[in-house]
Parts: sequence; C-alpha cells; structure tokens
Amino acid sequence: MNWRYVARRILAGFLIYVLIIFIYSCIFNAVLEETARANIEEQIMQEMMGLRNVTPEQMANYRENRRAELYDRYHLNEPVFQRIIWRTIDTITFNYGRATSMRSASQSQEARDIVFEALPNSILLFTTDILISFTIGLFLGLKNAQKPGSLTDRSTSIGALVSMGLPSWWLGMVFMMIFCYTFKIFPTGGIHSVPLPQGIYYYLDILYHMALPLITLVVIGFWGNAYIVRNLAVSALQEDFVTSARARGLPERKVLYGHTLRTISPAVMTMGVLMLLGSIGGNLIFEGIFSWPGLGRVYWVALQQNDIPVLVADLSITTGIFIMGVVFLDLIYGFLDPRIKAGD
Amino acid sequence: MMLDVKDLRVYFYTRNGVVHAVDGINFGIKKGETLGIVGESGCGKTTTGMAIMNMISRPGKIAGGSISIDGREISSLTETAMRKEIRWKKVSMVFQGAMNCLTPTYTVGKQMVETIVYHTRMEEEEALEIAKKYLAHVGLKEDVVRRYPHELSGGMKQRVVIATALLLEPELVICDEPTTALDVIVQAQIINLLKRLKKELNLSYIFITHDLSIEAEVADRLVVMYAGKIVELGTNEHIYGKEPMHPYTQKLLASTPRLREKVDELDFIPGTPPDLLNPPSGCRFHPRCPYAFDRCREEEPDLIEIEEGHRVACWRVR
Amino acid sequence: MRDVFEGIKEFWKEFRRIKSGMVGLILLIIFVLIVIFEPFLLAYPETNERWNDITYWQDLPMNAPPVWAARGYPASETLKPVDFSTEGTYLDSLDFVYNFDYSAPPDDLIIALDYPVPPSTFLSISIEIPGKGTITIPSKQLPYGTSLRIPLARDSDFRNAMRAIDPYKNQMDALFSQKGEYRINFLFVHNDAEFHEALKDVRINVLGKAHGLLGTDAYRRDLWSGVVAGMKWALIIGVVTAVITVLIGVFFGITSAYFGGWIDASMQRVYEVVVSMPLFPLMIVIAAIYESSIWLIILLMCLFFWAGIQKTVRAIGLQIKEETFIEASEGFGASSRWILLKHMFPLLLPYALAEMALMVPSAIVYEASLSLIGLGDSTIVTWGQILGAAQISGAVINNLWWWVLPPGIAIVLVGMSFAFIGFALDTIVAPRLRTL
Ligand SMILES: Nc1ncnc2c1ncn2[C@@H]1O[C@H](COP(=O)(O)OP(=O)(O)OP(=O)(O)O)[C@@H](O)[C@H]1O
Ligand code: SF4
Ligand SMILES: [Mg+2]
Repeated sequence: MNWRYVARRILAGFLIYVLIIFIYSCIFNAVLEETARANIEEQIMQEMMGLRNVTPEQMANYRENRRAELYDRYHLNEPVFQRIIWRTIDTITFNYGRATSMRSASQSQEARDIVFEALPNSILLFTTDILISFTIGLFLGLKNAQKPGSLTDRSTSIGALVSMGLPSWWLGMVFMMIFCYTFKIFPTGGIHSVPLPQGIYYYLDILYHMALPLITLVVIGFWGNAYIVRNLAVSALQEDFVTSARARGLPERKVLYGHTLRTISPAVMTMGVLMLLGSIGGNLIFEGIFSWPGLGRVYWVALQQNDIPVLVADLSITTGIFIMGVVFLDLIYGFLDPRIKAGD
Repeated sequence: MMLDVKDLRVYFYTRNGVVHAVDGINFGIKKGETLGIVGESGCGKTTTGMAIMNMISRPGKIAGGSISIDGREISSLTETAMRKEIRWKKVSMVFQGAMNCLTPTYTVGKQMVETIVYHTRMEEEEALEIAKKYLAHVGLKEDVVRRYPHELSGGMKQRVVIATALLLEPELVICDEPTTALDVIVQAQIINLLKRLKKELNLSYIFITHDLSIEAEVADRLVVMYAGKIVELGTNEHIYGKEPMHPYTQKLLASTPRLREKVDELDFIPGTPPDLLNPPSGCRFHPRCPYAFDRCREEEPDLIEIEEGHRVACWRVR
Repeated sequence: MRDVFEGIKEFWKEFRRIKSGMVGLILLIIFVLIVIFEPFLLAYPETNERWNDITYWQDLPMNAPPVWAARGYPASETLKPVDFSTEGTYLDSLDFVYNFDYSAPPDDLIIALDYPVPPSTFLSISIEIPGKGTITIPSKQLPYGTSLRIPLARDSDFRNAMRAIDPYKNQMDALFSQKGEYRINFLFVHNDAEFHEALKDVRINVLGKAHGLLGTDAYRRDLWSGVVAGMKWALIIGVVTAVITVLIGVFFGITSAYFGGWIDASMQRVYEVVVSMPLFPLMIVIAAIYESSIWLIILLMCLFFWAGIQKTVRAIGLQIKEETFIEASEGFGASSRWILLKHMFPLLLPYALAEMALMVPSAIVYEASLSLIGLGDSTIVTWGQILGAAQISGAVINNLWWWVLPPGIAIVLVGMSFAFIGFALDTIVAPRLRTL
C-alpha cells in the first residue's frame, strides 16, 4: 500500500465518474435542453413584463436578442456533440441548471441546492444503519461460525434468504402502520417536529424521527451481514492457522476476534461497503415512505412534479457517492490485506 | 515416562458412520527420546498427535483410553488448564502442511510474541527478543519478525513454524511430516536442524512421517501403524537392523528407496488401505497380506512382545 | 444420455436432503399452479385487462376489509331472483330475499342488468322490512338505451322514502334497522318481448362492509384478484431477468477469461464502468423520461445485473482454462468458440443455475420499487403497483392492512422460494466447484 497506488485509484475513480456523466449527458441531453429552453422563454417573459414604454417592434427585437444571448450563454447554438460536452462539464462542476418547480428549503431554485440540502440527511440515516447492522451482523456471524448448524445459525441463514426478497419500503409501510398509526409510538415521518425544538432537544428530536426508519433498515439489513460473516468465518476457522493458534494455547477469544477476524477483515469490510452501495442502489426510495428528506425522497418529489433537472442532479450526486464507495472499497481492501501489493 | 498413551481410541462420528481412526494404541516416550510413527496415508498418525494435544475437533472424539503427560492425565484437566499448562508449554506441535499454519494477516513477530506474552505475562519487547533468539536458532535473520508469511519461502516458513514450536521450551515436540513439502536439500537441512535442537534443548520428539528413510535418521524407536492400530513397535535396531517381523513393515521397507542403494524395481503394497468405516475382520492387514491364513481372517492378533522392547501384532510371528 | 439422467437423479437425491430447498420448491410449484389456474381463481375475470378501469369495479364497496376479518358485517354478495312471475305480457314481477343478520347495514344495494333498457319502461320497488311492514318506492321511468344500473343509496326516491321512516338516520341505516329476512320486489312495466326474457337476469349487488378473500382498495378493486393476477408477472420478471442476466454474465466472464490479454483487459474496464453506476436511481430517471414498460424495466435490469456474477465466473473460467483438457483440445485445432461452449459452459452450468435462482428476488424487488413510485407498466397488474396505489391513497394512514400486507407478503414469499432453491443449489454446487 503506497500513496502512488492510492492516488492512482482515486484518479481512476474520477475518470470513471467523468465517463459515466458523459454517458448520462448523451442519454438525457435532449430532455434537459427542452427544459432549459422553456426556462429561457419564461425568463425573457418576466424580463419583458418589467419593460415600460416600448413598441411591440422593440419588444420582438428584445425577445430575439435576449434569446440569442441566452442560447449563446447556455451553448444551445452549438452542434449536438459540443452541447453534450458542455453538459458533461456543467454536470461535473455541479451546474445542473434550475429546477422547473421544486424549491430548496432556502427557497433556492438551483437543482444543486435542492440535492445538496438532502445529501446530509441520507448520509446520516444510511451510515447509522450500516454501522448498526454491520456490528450486529459481525458479532452474530462470528457467534454462529463457532456453532455452525445451531438453531441461531440456521435461523440466521433463513433470515438472510428471506431478507433478499424483502423490500425495505414495504416493511417500512407495515411498521408505520403498526408503530405510528395503531400504536402511536413514533412520529409519522419527516425529520423535525414543528415547532423546531431548541438546543439538545433538536438532536434528540432528530433521533426520535430517525428511530423507526432506522429500525426498519436494521431489521432487514443485519441478517445478510451475519450470514456473510458466518460463511467467511466458518471457512477461516477450518484453516490450519486457526488450529495452529489454538494449539499454541491461545484462548478462543484471541483465536476468533484476533486471528480469524483479522484474516477475514478485508472481506468483511468489503461487505460493509457493498452494503452501502446496495443502499444507494436500491434502498434510497425507502426514504419516501417516512418522508425522510434525503436524496431518495428528492427522487419521489421530483418525479411527482416532473422536475427533470432535479432528477438528473440527484442521479449525478448519487453516482458520485456510489463511485466514492467503490474506490473506498478498493483502498480498504489493499490496506487490510497484506497480501495485496500496491499496484495490482 | 514423559508421555504415556494407553489404549487410546479416537473415533469420528460422521454422517456415514463411525470412523475408527485410532483404535486402541499403546506407547510411551522417555525424556530426550525420539519416537517415530510411520504408516500409509490415513492410518491415524495425525489423529494420534492431535489427541495428545487434546485437540480432536468435531465430529471426532477421544472415545477411550488414557494419555498422561508427566504423570498428569489429560482427560482430567479442564480445557483452560489444558490450554494454559500443557499446550505449547509442555507439548508443542509442528503441523502437517506447516506452510498454512501461519496467520496470513499477522507478521511473524506478532504471532510469536502473542504466544509468549499470553503464556508468560512478559513485556512485549522482551518477548520479541526471545522470538528473535529462536529465529536465530533455526537459522533465520532477525528481520523476519517484521515480515508477513507470504513474504517467506516454504523452507523459511517451515523454520518459523519450528522456531514457534520451541518458544516456550516444551518437553515434547510433535513433528507431523515437517519436511514433506520441501525439496531434498531443504529437507536435509531441516532434519539436521531438528537433530541439533534436540541435543541443545534436550527435547523429546514424536516424529510422524511415511518416509522410513527419514525415520532411520532421526528416530530412536519406531511405531508402525496400520488402519488405526499399531502393528509393530521397536527400536531402530529391531526394525532396520534385521529383517522386520511384521509383513506390513516388510512391505513398507521394501517400497522405500534407500540412499546409495540401487534397486531394480521398488516394491509396492498391493491393494488399497482399508476403509476405516468398516475395517476388515481379524487382522486388518489380511486382505493385502501375502502370508494371510485362516486365523488371520477371524481373530485379531494382539501386540505381543517378542523380544525386549520389540512388539509385533501378527499371527505368523507366534 | 444415460449419464445426464443419472446426473440429474444424483442431483435430485442431494437436493432432497436440503429442507429449505424443498420448501422453496414446493412453494414454487404452488405459485406455478396459481398461474396455470388463474382463470379459475380470479373472482373478476377481466382483472388483467381492466385493473385500472374504474367502471369495471364500480359495483364493489370501497376499502372493504376481507370477509374473514370482518365477521358480523355484511359481505358483498349478488342476489338472484327467487321468484319470477308474469302478470300479463308486459308486467313482470321479481322477488328477492336478503337475509340480514349483521350489526351494520351494507353500503348500498345496486340493481343491475346487462341488457339495454327499452324505451318507456317503468319500475316500482317494494321492500318488506321484517316485523315492520312494507315500504314502496313510487314507480318511475327508467333511462333507456343503456344497461340497467340503479344504486339505491344514491336514488332520490329511495332516500325520500327512507326519510319518511326515520328522518335522523342515513338511508341504509334506516332501511336495515331490523335483523331478519328482507323481501324485495321489483315490478317492471314495459312493452318489449325480448326484454321480458332478459329480465330473469336482474340481480341486486349488495355492496357489503366486507368483501371477498382480501377485501377491496380505495378504487373498489378486488384485491384477491389483483394479487392472483400479479403472480405471473412476478414470475416472468424474476425468471426472465435472472436467466438473461446470468447468461450474459456467464458468457462475459468466460469470454474474458478465455481470451485474456487486451480483450480481457478492455472487457474488465467495461465491467468497472457498469458496476460504478447506481442502477436503481438510473432506472428511475430513465423510466421517468422515456415511457416505462415492463420490457424496458427487464432490459435495464439485464443490462446491469450481470456485473454481479461475471467476476466469479471469470475466476472459475481462469481456473478451468488451466485444466489440461482445454490445452489438449487446442492441440487438436478446435476453434475457440467450440472450446468455450463445449468445456467451460457445462462446467459452469450448475453454478449458473444457483445464481439464477438467487437473482430472482432482487429482480422482483426492483420492479416493485419502480412501480411503487409510479414508474411501473400501467398496462399490467403487479404487486408493486398495488402497493404504489396503497402508498399514494393513504392506506398506511388509514390502517388498510388488507391492502398493504398481501402484495408485500406475496413478494416476500416468491423471493423466498427462489432464494431457498438457490441456496440449496449453491450448497450442492459450491463444494464441487472447489474441487474443480
Ligand atoms: N474430521 C474428520 N472427519 C472424519 N474423518 C476424519 C476426520 N479427520 C480424520 N479422519 C479420518 O481419520 C483417519 C486418520 O486420519 P489422519 O489424518 O490421522 O491420517 P494420517 O495418518 O495423518 O494420514 P496422512 O499421512 O495422509 O496425513 C482417516 O481415515 C480419516 O479419514
Ligand atoms: S496376522 Fe496374518 S494377515 Fe495379519 S499380518 Fe500377520 S500373517 Fe498377515
Ligand atoms: Mg497426517
């Protein structure tokens, strides 16, 4: 593991990001230009309403000039290929353009602001989920590996298989029906109470709102982790080095949490990051059920309002985070496994 | 007697039935002595070694007999006592396929130091010095402590494993085929190393192999196993000096190439080793024995002392 | 041929030993039977074509719980005439009997006949309330040319008649104030001989407070029929996606492994780009911009899912490549395609089967998730769409569990059956691969 390798891997990740944004630009350019043109027309209309004492001829002139000017600024007069390149550059520099109807909490119309505002909420929810599911999965998995075939071990496998086909948002709906509407234990969605509590209560209030979404995600998430850790640990425990460590008189605690865990740790970390990627890949819309104001809910709202620029902005940011996850995965692996030499 | 094994039985309770891997064996070792165990693959050599460490894992179990180390019966010890007082302190083991016995994600130093610190409560720096000392003993440089196992050659790993086995100055080291995977030169080096260490540290060895020519070099006494049973036990003199008494030992010797000796054709033992799920009746060797007669098929021969310190289990020898 | 048969027999023997695998298989067989016997199971035969057509469902109650969960409440039912008598050619009288033994009245009684009403047809209705005598709703002329449909609860004459009985109650409560046998008589006055024949089929649809096996949703749709109709789509989505995906993944992996060199290198770059795209968000945006259809959804999943298995396939492929027999057949001048197919593919087939089964749950969940946010294919019935409708109609807030639970449980069960089968296959296959 050396810094050249790290830098190379990060650069490679960035290049992939650029390439993917380019692909998106090819697919979505036509629609985005349509909304851009509509935006320009609207802007000109508003400007013209501010004009006083002008003849209709001047009006028409003004419109023509402004339109040409704005088309120039947004590169709408150039050939398709160049427009796509401009679109790519804009997207990479977070210039997603203006939302057609959505507004950020600060009343900004920029798609960028709407998405960036949602980002921390998603990160908060999903990293907390992963930390908890990961920890439970790790310990349950190791425990099961010590007694493969035991009742808990078999139930964990079954749980893992069932959770494969269990949509998190459906479980969210069911839990909500039970815990928010039948027994009114948890708030019915959102992230803050109204009025906004102050001081320490502000954070406790967030925790309170996060509880049920978090429980739902953890209830689905930890099975799979435990199952993977268990399989890794079971095969590691059959290795000669484990027998050898035991023969040296080392206590089971050191054998399991030391030698075994350390050896499977690259694979375990991979699992953790893959889980994060899985959340981004499939679990995001789960937020919509709980009205949790994150990236996933932005997809819902943007869809309802047919706000294409926001959708594409959301997709680009999601992709960026996703790629960061993939790169992080590679780096962590190289860092934890001494057998992986820098450069391969 | 440093180690006394009486009527030891180890069975594996598998899905398909009970495997009688070790079925009533007796032997003992004096301090400073090397006992060789030979036999074909699958005859129960490793299992015997593991039983002495009390490390038979599921589905296996020590089904009977006794093992006492320095007069202490191991079955009466708790797992904790076993771990703290016997394993590695009194008896250590160089495992078959030592290549895979080092934790791949620990440096050599870390695994050695961990063992010392756990058993002696010593400071880490001190433990590291001891590790280096033993690495020097086996002819490795000090900087090996910082290396990961994958950065070492097979021979080096083997030496690390031997050094690790010596860390706590045990009385008995069980060497399970310590040289099988190595080339001839390294093999000779390791054998010489083990012989030297034995003298320097006054160790006892159980030396497991299926290569009789190596046993001739290192062992004082020899146990020949067949299908979980001892078929012949005697000093090197008894086995190599004159013609060995048991037909299986004879076959084994005839199939071993000897240095500086030209043979037209190596003998081999016809037939396959028996199925330990359903061992043959009577003498377990009878399906492959050229001398087998009726009694062999019906009655099992006991291990009978035919001369001082030489026992054989064969009807023909009576 | 014999070998293949023996192989399958051997495989089956191992498979039977794995309990969860057998559970999965039995479930799957049940699902397939449901699809085969769908026409017999659907309570409403046009469910598939007219799921989103409100007029098809208008004679059903709204948000009614399943019958078994609402004992003591009137279930939906259809009353047929118990007596049909003719007084003169153009005067037909029909008698209906409704046994009312519930704690609440039905939502409505709808008089219906699928036959165009001829001009100048008159209907008068009388209802005998047990122990209370008979009320009569004055005769009125029926609108002609269309089929007959009169929802009583919304009929002003009926409401007036009820108000006369009890002005403080709503009309249905007023009518069903007594338990017992209600006798309802229709008297049709008309001048059409053919209509006389058709009148035998007049029926009363009782809009119960409970409906069918799984109740109804806010659009009055019969949820049992919806869930049954969704089964085939879940299986199609899951199986088609899984099969295509795994085939792509296997061919990609072995091609990459077999050729090595720059072909391998560039194929692996393609793979890296594909795994770096978050599939679901991308599907959302594509489905939002281009018109969504089930085949587009399946196509997108196929274009991405294969990346999950190609790495393993490639690793196994590299291992197989080392095997001498491939080198041997190369020596005899076999073409590379032949080698790929003849040697690598059969060896990977068991693994591929296990992977296919394990991929089905994800495919079903992805489609359901897209449908949830309204990007599904509106021309078919899927469980995701039923749940999507539940979500926007506030089924959760109103505790309409019969709307939310069954489709979700169906998704979980189908996913589970395939996961169990895949797990069993994997258990059998994995050790074999290890000794390859
Ligand atoms: N975990 C186990 N489960 C079932 N049977 C086992 C197990 N371990 C060992 N055996 C059986 O016990 C018998 C003895 O095995 P052991 O490893 O002691 O042989 P060995 O003499 O050391 O052979 P080798 O020379 O190949 O190392 C074998 O027949 C083997 O099949
Ligand atoms: S007892 Fe019989 S069969 Fe067994 S070794 Fe002796 S002669 Fe051979
Ligand atoms: Mg062995």
